[in-house]
Amino acid sequence: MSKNSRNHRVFWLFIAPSGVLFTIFFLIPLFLNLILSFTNYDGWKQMDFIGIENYVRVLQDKEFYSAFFRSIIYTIVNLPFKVAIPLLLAVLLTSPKVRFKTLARTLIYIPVLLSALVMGITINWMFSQEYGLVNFIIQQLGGSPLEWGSNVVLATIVISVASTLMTTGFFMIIYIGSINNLSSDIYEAAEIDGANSVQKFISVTFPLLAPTTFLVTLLSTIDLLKEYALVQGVTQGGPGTGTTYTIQYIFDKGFNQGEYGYATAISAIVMIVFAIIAYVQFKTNQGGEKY
Amino acid sequence: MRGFLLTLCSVLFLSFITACSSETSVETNGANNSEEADGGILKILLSEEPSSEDALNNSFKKWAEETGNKVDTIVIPYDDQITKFPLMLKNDDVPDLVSTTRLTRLYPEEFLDLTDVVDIGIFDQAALEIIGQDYDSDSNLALPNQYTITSYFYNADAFEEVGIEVPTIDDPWTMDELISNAQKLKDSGDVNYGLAVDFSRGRYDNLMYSNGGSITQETEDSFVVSINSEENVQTLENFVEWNETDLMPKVIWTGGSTDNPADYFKNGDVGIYLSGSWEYSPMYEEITAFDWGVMPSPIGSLQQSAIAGGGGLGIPSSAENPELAKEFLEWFYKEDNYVEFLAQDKGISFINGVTYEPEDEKVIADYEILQAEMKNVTDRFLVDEKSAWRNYLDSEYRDVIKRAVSGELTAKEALDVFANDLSEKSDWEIAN
Amino acid sequence: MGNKNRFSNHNRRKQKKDTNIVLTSINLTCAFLIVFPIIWLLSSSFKPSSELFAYPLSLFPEEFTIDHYIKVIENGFFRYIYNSFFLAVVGTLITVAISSMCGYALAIYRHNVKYTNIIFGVFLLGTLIPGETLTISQFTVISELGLYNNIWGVIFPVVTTTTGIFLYRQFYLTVPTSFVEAARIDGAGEFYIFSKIMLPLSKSVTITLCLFSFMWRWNDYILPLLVLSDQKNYTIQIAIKNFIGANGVDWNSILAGSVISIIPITILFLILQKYITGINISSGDKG
Repeated sequence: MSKNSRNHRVFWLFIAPSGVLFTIFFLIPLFLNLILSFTNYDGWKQMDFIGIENYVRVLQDKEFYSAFFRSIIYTIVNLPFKVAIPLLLAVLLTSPKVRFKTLARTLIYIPVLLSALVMGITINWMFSQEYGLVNFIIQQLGGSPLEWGSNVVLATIVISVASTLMTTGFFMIIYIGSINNLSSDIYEAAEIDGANSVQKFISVTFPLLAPTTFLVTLLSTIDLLKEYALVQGVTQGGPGTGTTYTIQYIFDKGFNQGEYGYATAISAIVMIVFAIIAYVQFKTNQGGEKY
Repeated sequence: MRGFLLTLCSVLFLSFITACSSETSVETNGANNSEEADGGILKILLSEEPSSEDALNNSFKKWAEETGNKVDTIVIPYDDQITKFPLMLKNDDVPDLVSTTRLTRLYPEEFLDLTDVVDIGIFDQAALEIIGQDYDSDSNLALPNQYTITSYFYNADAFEEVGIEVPTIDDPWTMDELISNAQKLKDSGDVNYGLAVDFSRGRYDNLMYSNGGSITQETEDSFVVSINSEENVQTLENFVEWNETDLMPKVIWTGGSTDNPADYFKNGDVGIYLSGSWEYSPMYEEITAFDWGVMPSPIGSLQQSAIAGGGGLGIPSSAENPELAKEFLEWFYKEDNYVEFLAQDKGISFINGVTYEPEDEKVIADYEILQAEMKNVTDRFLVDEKSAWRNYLDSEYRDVIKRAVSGELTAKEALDVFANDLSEKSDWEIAN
Repeated sequence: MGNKNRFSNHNRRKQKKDTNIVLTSINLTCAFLIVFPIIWLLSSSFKPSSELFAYPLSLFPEEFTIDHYIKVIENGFFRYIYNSFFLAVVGTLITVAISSMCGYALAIYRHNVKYTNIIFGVFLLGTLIPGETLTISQFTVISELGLYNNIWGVIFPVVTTTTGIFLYRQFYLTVPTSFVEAARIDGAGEFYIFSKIMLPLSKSVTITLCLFSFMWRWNDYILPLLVLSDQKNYTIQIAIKNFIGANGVDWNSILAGSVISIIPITILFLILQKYITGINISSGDKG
């Protein structure tokens, strides 16, 4: 009994530094936000308690729904790329038949190091409708320049490219780590069975990597649902409201217009939905998880 | 014993953190104190990183040299200022002098009335009103440091190629003429676009005012919202069409890109470019490949239109050093100093009787046109300014136009949406 | 460990035997495509303004110039780099210290303390919630604590990272509890076990987290902007953002500034990357 209570105390001492900072700078603001969502706070002086009015308004807000569904579609469409590209690259980079692995790995990782701001600048510079390199190349090849900024689908593609660039290196490293940890015996056994590389990947590597794939999927989903800084840097939500996703909407409607109370109500709802999505993903995968 | 050791370690760790934090705060305080000993420090908030040619910044420097004071500038971009300024107020950390276009309007009660600081009579009345007057109290919360007017630039080489004659102050084009000439320019293939308009409501609204429209109308004791009037819908429909037919670069007004039409024009890809007088200087410096000039605004279905604007200097009431800021203002508007400022700024003068006199003859002619645009500032624009509708909704207006151009909403839907929102926020009726 | 070495030796032997040219070139092409936007950024930053918008574009500047860099540096860029450095280094040290302790405790005491999973769940909230939406409330707390316009006001709020805790927790889950028990029987104290035995084991996690944390702090924008109100304390990201003016983007400066901002973090990555062999996040007890 005394041993156990000592363990508790030690446990809490280890947790304390993170716990205290997390409480002060995350949980308290979160709680403040929750309170504010029941007020008409304008970020400045006015703050009256108005009950659940904000929540009623969110549920009737058509523009919120369209922003939210855009987020969901954006997430679903991008998810396969976010997960598959790093996986394939990782397989290439762990293959004994491929050379220049360090060089390739380094190059692929560099975009991860950029801030959303700098990535936005870089991508805008490439995809500028009038003077961008991409349209220049298209024209050189005899095509007509594409409307990267004013066509919703194309603008979404530009953001998607930027978003995938920013995470590919990271997820690739995670995959490489997992592949290196797979026991080499399994491969040798597969080789003895005469399996070729593709068969080996499908029947051995991919199933063994399931827990990693789950993790990458979960992280990507949350990232995509939360996409904000990059959108702000690349399209500012345009053309029209074509790339205005949930978080952007919270900012546009709430913070830029001084409707802070309303904005916090939206974020409270969004948070719950995100948590549910993550929880469902977690549960569906529980079979493969050990803890 | 072990437990004790652990506690000790944690305490040490935590105190290390707090020690670090108190050390640095002492350091920063110390630094501040030592600087203050040398004389006054004027803390200034600017909206853009000043270049070495920046006239206002050079004035600050010169003032500091002459008076032995120091200036400490902090740059916060315009959009971020609106978030940051209230935070500064909450923390009693307010600059002494603010160069701004909007803050004095958004937080009028937080700024000093500057009416008695300098002789208000010296200023151009319109400039003073548009930039810094608080209509509710008749006080002057910001004094001008930049006065600008919207203006139409044209690519002279392209005009010559197609055989278009440049309109004059006495004989301006109609809007229809401008559009048909822009079409000719585009069709000739000399330029990619006949017309380009900055992605700013302050440029677009000229089309509206020149067709007799307005955002609000004044009633006896209040305002009504008139943004969704028939003529405004018509104006927006035309504007959307020009974008649809690629007479204009559509990407500018659909949003979704950081492309700037000024780059298009400077590169010789645009025939006529609606922007503002502040672009004159940079164009003069940067365009070498072709000839260009300024032309008078076209007559819409009712009249010509220009929109005046600019920035001003305000002193927050909770500033630490308001006296020093006042000293600077007195110094800045003294004739000698102002003339020097204007010569560098090459802008439109906001003090009566003092003008910038360029040397180049082309520039003299262009300035005459810019200056003449001042008379085209419409009364309806001044009413809209007075209504201060932008205190209720601001970027939303450009957003609905953006959505109309991108085809998400029809022109009528877009303006109706905005009219309803504005009416709701401001409690003004919608005019019929 | 021995097992791993055998595996890589085995790899090396194979490599000599058969290199697949097709796979190698696919690999290099992908890598080149992914890094190309940055190469383009780099090349553009050395072009004079007249070449930036002029068609036809060329990959290399026709007239090579470093004027933009000189201009940006004259603007006081080194000061901002220094500030970002300070922020990133101090922030990273704290992050590594507290995340390792927390992740360790969540993993090692999971059998002794019943509610470890609940606590871990609370920390996981941190990744679900878009931090940006908390900014204003967070700011209220920061100024109540008197950390406004104080460098610590931009460090403390962000040092607790769920990712860090997560990485350490996953690592220590793979360490058999018998390992700790053995050390306890030998009479080692809990903190001693952690700092002298367990922490060195997690070297790869530590290095990985160092890189991530440095990168996050280096790239922070919104919090420094709100909390710091002294130009002398500005970070590199704020400085870059300030090149986007009301009347358009100063492309000359912003391209040069962006390139400068990428250099230190890239160098750090080049130094550390050989230690980052990948993070064993998902596996169970494999020793």
